[in-house]
Amino acid sequence: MLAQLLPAAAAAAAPAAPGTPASVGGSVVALLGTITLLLAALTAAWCIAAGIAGNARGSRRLVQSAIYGSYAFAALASLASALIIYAFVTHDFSIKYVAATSDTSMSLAYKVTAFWGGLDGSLLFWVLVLALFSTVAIWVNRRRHRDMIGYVIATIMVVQLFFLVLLIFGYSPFATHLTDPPADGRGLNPLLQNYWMVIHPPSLYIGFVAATIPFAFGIGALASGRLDDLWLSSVRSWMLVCFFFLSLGLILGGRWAYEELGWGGYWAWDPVENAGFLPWFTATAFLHSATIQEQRGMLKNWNLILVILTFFLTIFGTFMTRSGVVQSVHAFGKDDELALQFIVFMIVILVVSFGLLAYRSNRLGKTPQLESFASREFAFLINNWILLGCAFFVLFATMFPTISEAIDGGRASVGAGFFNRWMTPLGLVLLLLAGAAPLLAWRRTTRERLWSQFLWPTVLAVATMVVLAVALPQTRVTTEVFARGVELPMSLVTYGFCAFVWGSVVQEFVRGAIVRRRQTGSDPVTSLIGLVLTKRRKYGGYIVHAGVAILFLGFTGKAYERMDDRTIARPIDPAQVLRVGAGEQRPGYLRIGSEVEVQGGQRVRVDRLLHRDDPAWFTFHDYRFLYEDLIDTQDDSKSAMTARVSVWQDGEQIATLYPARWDFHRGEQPTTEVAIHSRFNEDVYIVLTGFGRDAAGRPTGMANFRVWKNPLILWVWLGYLTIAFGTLVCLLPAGLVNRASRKPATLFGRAADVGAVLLFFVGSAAAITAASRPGVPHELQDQPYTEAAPPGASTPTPDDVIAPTAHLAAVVDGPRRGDRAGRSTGRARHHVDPRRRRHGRRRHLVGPPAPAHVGHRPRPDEGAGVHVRRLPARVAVRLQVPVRRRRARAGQHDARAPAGRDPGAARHRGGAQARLRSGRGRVRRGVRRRARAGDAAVEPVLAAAHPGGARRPRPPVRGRPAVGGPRPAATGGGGGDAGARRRSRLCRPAR
Amino acid sequence: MNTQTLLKLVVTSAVVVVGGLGFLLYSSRADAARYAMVDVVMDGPDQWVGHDMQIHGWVEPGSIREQIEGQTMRRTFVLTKGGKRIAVRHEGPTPDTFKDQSEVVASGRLAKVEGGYEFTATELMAKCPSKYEGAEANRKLDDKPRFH
Repeated sequence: MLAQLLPAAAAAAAPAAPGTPASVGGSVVALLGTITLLLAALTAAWCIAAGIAGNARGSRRLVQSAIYGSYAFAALASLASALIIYAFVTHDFSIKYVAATSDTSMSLAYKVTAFWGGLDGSLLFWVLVLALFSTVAIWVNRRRHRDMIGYVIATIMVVQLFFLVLLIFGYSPFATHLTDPPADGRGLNPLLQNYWMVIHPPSLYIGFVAATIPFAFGIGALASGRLDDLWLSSVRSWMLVCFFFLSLGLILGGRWAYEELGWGGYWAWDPVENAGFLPWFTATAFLHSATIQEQRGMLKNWNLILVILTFFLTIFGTFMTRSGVVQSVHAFGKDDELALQFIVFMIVILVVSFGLLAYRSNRLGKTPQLESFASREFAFLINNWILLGCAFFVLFATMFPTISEAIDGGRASVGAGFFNRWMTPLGLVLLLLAGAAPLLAWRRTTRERLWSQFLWPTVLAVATMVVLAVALPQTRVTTEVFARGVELPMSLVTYGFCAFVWGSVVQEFVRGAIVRRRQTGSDPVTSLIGLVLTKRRKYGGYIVHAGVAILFLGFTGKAYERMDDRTIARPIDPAQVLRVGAGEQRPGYLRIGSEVEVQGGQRVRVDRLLHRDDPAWFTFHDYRFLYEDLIDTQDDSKSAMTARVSVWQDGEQIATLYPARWDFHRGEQPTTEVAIHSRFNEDVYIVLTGFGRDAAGRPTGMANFRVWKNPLILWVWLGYLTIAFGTLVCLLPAGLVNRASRKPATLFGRAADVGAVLLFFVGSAAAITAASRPGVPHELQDQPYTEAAPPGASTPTPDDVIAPTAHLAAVVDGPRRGDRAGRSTGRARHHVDPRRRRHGRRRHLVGPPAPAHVGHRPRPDEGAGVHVRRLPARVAVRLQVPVRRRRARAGQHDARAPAGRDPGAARHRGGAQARLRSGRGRVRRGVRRRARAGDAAVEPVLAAAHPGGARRPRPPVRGRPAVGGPRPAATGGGGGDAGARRRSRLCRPAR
Repeated sequence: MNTQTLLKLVVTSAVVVVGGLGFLLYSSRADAARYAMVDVVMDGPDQWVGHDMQIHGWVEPGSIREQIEGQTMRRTFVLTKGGKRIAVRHEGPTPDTFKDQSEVVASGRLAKVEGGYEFTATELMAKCPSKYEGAEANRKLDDKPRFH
């Protein structure tokens, strides 16, 4: 085996001899990595042997050796991972995996995450995470479980060895190119270059991997015959970790799909999603049934089965997504060889685990019987059955195409509707149990207790349902359950059940706090916190339940979601936008910031004027959308087509959204960049599904939009946050709680406490605001304003200068979005395609591009056109005068201008195409400020269309002059105008 | 819990489980969207009428007609395979690769209309390069990375 492997690796490392072709990239990293993997495999094999022999023969030294071996394994796995990350960062494209999943243009964060971006790397990542987790688990339990830790290590190492064998013999991330290594890599799939994608796969892997630890302890307990409750207490927190990360992975996957794929939803019952969901069901079932064993000594067998099933399903899920057995939109592709290896491994797992279980079943002893149906254990039992039923159903429906093909040869599939019809009622029973179980007592609940516990939650649930059904008729919408044609008002039921869960959880907290307050005599808040901290698992669990209820609230929104497709022939014609003119009010022209009288005699200030009945408007339920512009931009990695769409409701503009399509130069297909306006009641979600191009490939302005109204979707994410918080409360280690609850002795200690609390809240608030701010996309932030001159504006007066800028700023003005972390926009290396340079940057405000750029000669296919010798004054003035005047005033020229070249001339040569390195957002901000100063107004047209919906004039923004009369020449740098000043400082012509 | 209660419990659970399974299979049959190529469907179209299904074929060159009515893009085209043809009606967006001669899987229903059959598609999928091919980067390279 080694003889077969090592020469190749050694050859890979050998420097290319002068005569030979520059072959086999001499990658030392690849050689080291391969050797590390081989050593790790040897270590794992030793750990298996030593662990089993040590525990079976009672040899402490062998067990100790296995423990040290497992630490060594973790070190080797870390080294291998570090090597591959090093290869990514240093662009070692002689390694095939690096060449296949990264390229030089990717940002550092994506280079590191490309580690798990492909099959080979994700297998290595699995090994790494499992190695780290097992090290922690083994270190914590090395003394407590000395008589079974050998078996535990052996089980973990069998799993590791399986993955290592896959890695070494089929999918080595260190394999090198045998011929010339490529100069650049192929890059990571653009869809995966999203910040959610940075954390989604690892969190799912971590969830999957965490399920291995309980399994290993379960097998260890079975093999050693120590089947008391001791093993269970060691693994419960690991199952919680598994639950936490699985939930995180699932919700992040949903968030990614929602933002990136343009489905309009977060969950589509795709096989890959389902693969992550299956172990979640059994892990959740285990968390509940483990409590029954702990409290009542029941279900010992069952818990072992759940642990085995959870682990089995993680492997099965990996098998489903990696082998191509089930067709999926984002599976990793078909691979029969891998499928076979996984099938063999899964059979081994099942045979060994259930064989051991059968072998030890006599040792499990008699377990206590269920005493009453009105008991908490019975509620937990039902919960277990339903969770298992869910897992079975999802498995069945996911495998349906495979099953149906096996049975009658014809391919058939079931859609998301089928899943929803079944999972809705099952989920609702679980939701009800989440509220009911905490109210029931162990063993038996007396009738009086039943009454006192259930009264208020039930009243609350019924009241909620009645009030909603009466006050909000739309909540009475019916949903299909189980089969087509069976319709029930499920959303109303969901609201009722959510209220029930909330009522029950709050009641538990309140009653617990009252009791504790009586015992400790402290104030209500302290007793509440003390209650949660002393019984962390119980009350953490209740918080999770409350989070589940919030999550269901979000799910319910699905019942009212609406979608529509619209095709709009062109964006609104700027000529149709009532433009802002100079001092006098020409017909159709008004000055932004001036006051005008609208119908009804009301005087309003002009903000922005739009034509009333332009076909660029479209109405969707209670929203109106205005398709304002279609903007074409380029950067290093992609060309982007961004539509600007403003969203209006009740005569008020509520958002400006920028749905886009990105065509990555390396990608095969464009990706959709969804634009979402998120609010607590509903999200407005726009996808640019396509746009028209003429025969010459130029955009015609026609755009297809798919708009969604997604009610309550925000609550899905909030519900998850609550669940995560509850899980963390459950996971709080006792030591930490004790340390935290000790009163700080010094002033410094107290200050540290206060500081920590402040930091937590400020940090959370900052994170939430940063995450929730949509705005102008990067692609547009460095767009110079080379707007084509509107018809009839070829000889602008100086006054016009204010207006179009203000108009543009007002139109562009919108809530700003924080940087999408790490997205490679190539901002720093922004360049213009040489072909584009010739014709200037295209920016279609008015149908076909107006030949408004200096040096533009009409091509024969363009028909009539003018050779523009001079830049339209408006553009020139707006872009250049401030720069020149400012510099002139400051007496400094652009130091970067090449000697002997007049910067002004250079600018002029470049004309509109002279790319203004505009200082990105800062320029905009400057412009925006100026626009803001006068933006307190209404457009009379809309105001007329919605009488009474007129926007109130806003007071002038502090520190900025309110604009009343004619503006001071903004072109001249505008005296006290900070925005314009900053702009002029930043506007430099590009070289 | 005495034996009788236990018996009742077991019987109830069995009924629930078996009944649930039966119902699941029944409802899945009603929900299953069948999948077939154009020629298979057009060999005996009547049995496919009115069922949710996916039909797979190639776009006949020159058959795509698009029209914006109001703000809706309506299109008709013909899918072919093995000399058989079916007219498809569709509204809304198409995949980028949708053009003449492209391979398409259309989901929707077949209906009998005057003088033949017509397929009303709710969704078009371009067959080959999957949008979500997470994939492209992950698919094994032609020369599998393995040691020789």
